[in-house]
Amino acid sequence: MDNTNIITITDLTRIFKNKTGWFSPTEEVTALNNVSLKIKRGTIFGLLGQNGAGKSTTIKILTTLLLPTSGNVLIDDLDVTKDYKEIRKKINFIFGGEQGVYKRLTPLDNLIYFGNLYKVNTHTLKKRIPELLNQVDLYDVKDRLVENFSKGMIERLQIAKGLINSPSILFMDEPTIGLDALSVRKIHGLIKNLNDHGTTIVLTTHYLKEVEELCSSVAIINKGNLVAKGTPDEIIEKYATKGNDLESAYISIIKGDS
Amino acid sequence: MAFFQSIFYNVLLQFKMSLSRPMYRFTLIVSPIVNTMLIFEMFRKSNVSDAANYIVFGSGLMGLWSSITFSSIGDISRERYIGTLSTVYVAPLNFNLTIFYRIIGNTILSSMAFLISIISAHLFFKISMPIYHKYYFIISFIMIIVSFSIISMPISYLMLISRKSSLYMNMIEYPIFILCGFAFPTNKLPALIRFISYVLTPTWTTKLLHESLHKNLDIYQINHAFKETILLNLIYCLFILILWKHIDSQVRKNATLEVV
Ligand SMILES: Nc1ncnc2c1ncn2[C@@H]1O[C@H](COP(=O)(O)OP(=O)(O)OP(=O)(O)O)[C@@H](O)[C@H]1O
Ligand SMILES: [Mg+2]
Repeated sequence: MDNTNIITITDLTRIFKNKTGWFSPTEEVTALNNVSLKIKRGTIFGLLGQNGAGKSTTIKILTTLLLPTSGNVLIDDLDVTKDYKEIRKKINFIFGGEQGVYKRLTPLDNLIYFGNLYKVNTHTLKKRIPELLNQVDLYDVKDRLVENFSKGMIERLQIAKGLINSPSILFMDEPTIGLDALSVRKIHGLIKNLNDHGTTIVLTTHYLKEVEELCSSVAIINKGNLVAKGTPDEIIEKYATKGNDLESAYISIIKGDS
Repeated sequence: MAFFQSIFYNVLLQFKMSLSRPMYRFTLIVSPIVNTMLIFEMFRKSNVSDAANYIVFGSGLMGLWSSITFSSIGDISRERYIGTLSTVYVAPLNFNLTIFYRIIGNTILSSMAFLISIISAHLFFKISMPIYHKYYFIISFIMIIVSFSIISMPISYLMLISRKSSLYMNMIEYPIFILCGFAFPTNKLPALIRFISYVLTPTWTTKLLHESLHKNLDIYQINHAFKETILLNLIYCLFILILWKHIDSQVRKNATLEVV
């Protein structure tokens, strides 16, 4: 495997300014505080942390949805602040839950629309869309309205959407949230398969078993600070107190930090 | 050629997207019917000479504007809630182009409101509108489509920078009806606010439309309205360019693409 870093984050800080009312002062929330991190090409990388830790904020900065307040973020040697247009062609992202697709359209129309937004030419799109629909097991329902779909089906449609431009990095924010065991297994299969074909995957999750199953390296953030990083095995060895699993390590890291 | 193909394709996609929403279909079809009745009642006892124009085309213009606010402009806030705005915003297709395609598609589709007003005025009140000067009418109609499309752009951008945009969307619907003389002539407005009317293109396209419907054309008035429309549209385009530069960075700085 190619051993270079595809993502390099250096001293990343993101502050949100919230105004709660007309006359109340603005309150500042530091969602990320001096985070530095490297992600290797071709891996599945897991980002862990409590609710509000800053996982989604990290993903949003990496996907050029948000600007960093300070610090430096390179994706494939391109700077997220300046070279965002180039970056956007190489990546794609999906968010877990039922958001992010047009529910009143069919999966087919959704993919046509997103393909168009990603400037995939019509010829390629004609070939790619049926392939993707087959890959995520939605070919048979391609003409049904998405509003009648189960959560698992919507998530699979999201994955197809995320692959419409054949990205070299796919970001997934809680891709298995609220799914049943079989749907989760299906999604995991898809993720592994993608990774086998060379796509770098960055995912966030609250399920530690998922991380153990999928990720070759992880980072744990707590209240905006990076508190641990390494392979799951390294983290277990270093932090696990009871038992020999990631959950035990995770709990002792979070407790130790607060 | 490829460029026009892409416009055509995207506009068709937009038709499909808009028509898939019940709220849009409702606004497009029901509001011109209701507006026709409303304006008919308003003019029933008046002695305005071109009352029929207001009943038929006023309700068409109101329907067009309502459909636009709930589609092109409303899309931004709706998509923020359904979570597609972020994809639409960062996808490689230039966001300005995406918005442009949407607006063209929606404006063309929403101009169906005119057809519905014409039919309802005829069915309910036996009002029919003779069109004496075909070409003038067609030109003013095209100017309406162009101007309504252009004015929708900066408003859509403003929707991007605030998460409260659905509130603003509801706030701009009625003032435009009144300020731009859709339902009654602008000279009925207090002089103090009339200057706002003069800087809005719909005021001039509405005037152009009314003038083009007269049996005896007043070429001076038509010229005047036409020139004002072109001039204001150019100014709006300039404003759009300046606004976009500012908004593109604001959006990523202030995290307004999605609800948390
Ligand atoms: N647009 C925003 N405006 C203001 N504050 C925000 C915004 N987005 C996130 N925050 C704040 O930043 C912090 C980090 O949020 P973030 O969404 O990154 O957490 P997370 O790790 O993804 O949590 P979860 O597991 O709940 O998804 C939180 O305190 C949150 O309230
Ligand atoms: Mg999150």
